[in-house]
Amino acid sequence: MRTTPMAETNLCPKCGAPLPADAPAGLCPQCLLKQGLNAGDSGAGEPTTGYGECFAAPRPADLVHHFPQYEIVELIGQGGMGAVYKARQKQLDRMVALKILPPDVGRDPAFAERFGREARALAQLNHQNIVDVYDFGVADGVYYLTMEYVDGKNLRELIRGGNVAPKQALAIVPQICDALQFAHDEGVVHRDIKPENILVNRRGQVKIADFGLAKLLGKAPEGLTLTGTAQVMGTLHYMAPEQMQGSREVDHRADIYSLGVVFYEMLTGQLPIGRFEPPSRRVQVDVRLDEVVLRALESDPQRRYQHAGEVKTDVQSICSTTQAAESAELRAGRGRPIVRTLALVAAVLAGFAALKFFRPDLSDTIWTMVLLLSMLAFVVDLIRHRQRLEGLRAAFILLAAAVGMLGYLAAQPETILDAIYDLTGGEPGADDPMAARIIIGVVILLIVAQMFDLRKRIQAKRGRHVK
Amino acid sequence: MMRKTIGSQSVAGGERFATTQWSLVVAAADRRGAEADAALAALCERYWYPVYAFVRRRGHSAADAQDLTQEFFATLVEKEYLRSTDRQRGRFRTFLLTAVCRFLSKQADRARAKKRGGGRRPLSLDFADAEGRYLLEPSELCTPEMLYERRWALTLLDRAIERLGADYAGKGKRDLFERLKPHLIAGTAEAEHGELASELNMTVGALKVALHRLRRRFGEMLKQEIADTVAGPEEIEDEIGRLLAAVGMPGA
Repeated sequence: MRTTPMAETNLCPKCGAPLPADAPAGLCPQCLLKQGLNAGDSGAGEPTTGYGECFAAPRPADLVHHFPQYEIVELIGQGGMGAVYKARQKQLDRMVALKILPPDVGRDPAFAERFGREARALAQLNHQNIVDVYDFGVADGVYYLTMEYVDGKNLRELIRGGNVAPKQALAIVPQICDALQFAHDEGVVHRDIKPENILVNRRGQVKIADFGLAKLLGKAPEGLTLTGTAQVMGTLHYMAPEQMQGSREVDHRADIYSLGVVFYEMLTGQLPIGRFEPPSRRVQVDVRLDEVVLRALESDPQRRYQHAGEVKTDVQSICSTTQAAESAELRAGRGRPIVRTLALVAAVLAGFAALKFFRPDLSDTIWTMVLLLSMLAFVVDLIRHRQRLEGLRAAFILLAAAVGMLGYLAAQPETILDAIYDLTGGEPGADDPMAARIIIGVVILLIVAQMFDLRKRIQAKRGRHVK
Repeated sequence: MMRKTIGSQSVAGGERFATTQWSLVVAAADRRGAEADAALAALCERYWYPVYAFVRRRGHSAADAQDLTQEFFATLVEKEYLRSTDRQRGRFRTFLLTAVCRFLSKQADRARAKKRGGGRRPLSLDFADAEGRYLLEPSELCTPEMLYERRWALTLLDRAIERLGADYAGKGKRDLFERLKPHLIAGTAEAEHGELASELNMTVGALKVALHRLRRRFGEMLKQEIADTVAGPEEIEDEIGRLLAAVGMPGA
């Protein structure tokens, strides 16, 4: 269960992009324009099989003649960079992903040569987290690539389905880093990292698709410039600033920026747009992750992480220290909130019995005191372990307990003072109640400090120094 | 409120194009013609806000930006820039941006020696809420040019929807339009179709036809609106592509 606040930015139900506050009639401007592009004079809505400026994916039946060696099962994806079909390679009886490129790429006479060169480079990228390229070529004028078929979902679908808890995000990111680091070492930059291109198979293994295609298809400034609209269709939210400005200095660090956007979106469900808050302000995650995400999102490439591998190292060291702390708690037998609560109640009852037995002379006020102390212990315990509870519920319990205690303190000050005098041997109404006041003050301060997260922050800082 | 003659005109490819606003202005650039002047003024009144946002983002204060925008349009309407700017086969959007850039650098050269404005106010631009709107603009990761383009795209979409509404209202179907409008984008909230159909006393089939018509009409309106700002019909799709890029920018 995730408790990410999604209400702050409305998302377009169609494309998932955040809706600007001034969206025309409250509708997504991108989808409106795309629809306007497709609809209109030419009899609206009907998917055209002819290749126009706007790329409409051919129906599987229309591709039969182009690809007799494949049995085309269904269209599984479509974007500015082509259409992808699930297909069965008859001879080997295996599933493949067949990607056909927008037809207008063929207009550039130099494309064929570059396509061959790039595809060969992509075929060299053999890594467990990168979608394998099996084959490429031109079939009756249609440029295509066949790739490993990944049985799973893409990250966009997972995010939209609310299936990416911080824990999953922390499992996914290192795999993306591995793939990027490997490709960067091979001199290949992805240039279009976004949730749609990040596939997760049924075993939770990440596979990145479409390496290098952005460059090949001319999304990059030095690439071929198409006059169509296909190359600008993709959402640009994931592009590094230098990429956006058409700077010629785009290198592998652009991928690291895009990774930062994806990471932020996985943690918070939102895009880091405008004045965005660090992830830990929006969701319950380790504050040390803020630094990782923000450093990946630095707009100056020099200040960004310089290698994808470094992101992985940092994420993993944060995970391992968190896990170490958690398992230490588990070993101490204080793992589950219910067990802890029961243990506390037992301890308090034992304390009661012992006191009654040894000091039957103490006044009733002492019981009040014991009750208060046990409540305090309970609250402190809850606060210390609240990461383990679900955010909202824990906050509720804490708030209720704190309000109850403060209310009691406010309503019955003399009872508490009496109890403290009893324990410290002072006299009720004596000249100097300073000791009692100090004790109460310290207790309240402790609660407030806990509420304001001090302990967590100090711990996080310590963790950073250790690293 | 709308020029109904345009709204209800049917789109017949290039034929209709001969009368669109920007092509009229371009064609008449070297002669003075009342029709072309009116067309330019009409275009400016539609698309002045992106210019204002651009000027503001270039760092001018609200008061200065209002003066500068007003002055810019004054000189523009008086054709000074139409002659000096290369508008051969250009688009109104890019023409306006180039013109305002030149205008601003000239203004800086004059170092404000001359009093601006001189009371020339040929267009009625409602600055009253412009600053309020500007303050809501995305503030980071957005250059003046990007803001201008984004604003342009949103203004255009607003106009197209407005035209669409006027078109329906002209046929006495304003209510229907308001009910269907949230479903303008195909492929969203299809689950609600049954409910909507019963509220509108329609069968689901009839509703689907109505939505299909609405969407097709919207496409026509959008293309008409764009046609008014480009020099030829072959540029419409490319223009949509560029606007798509503009609304896809971060900060959008």
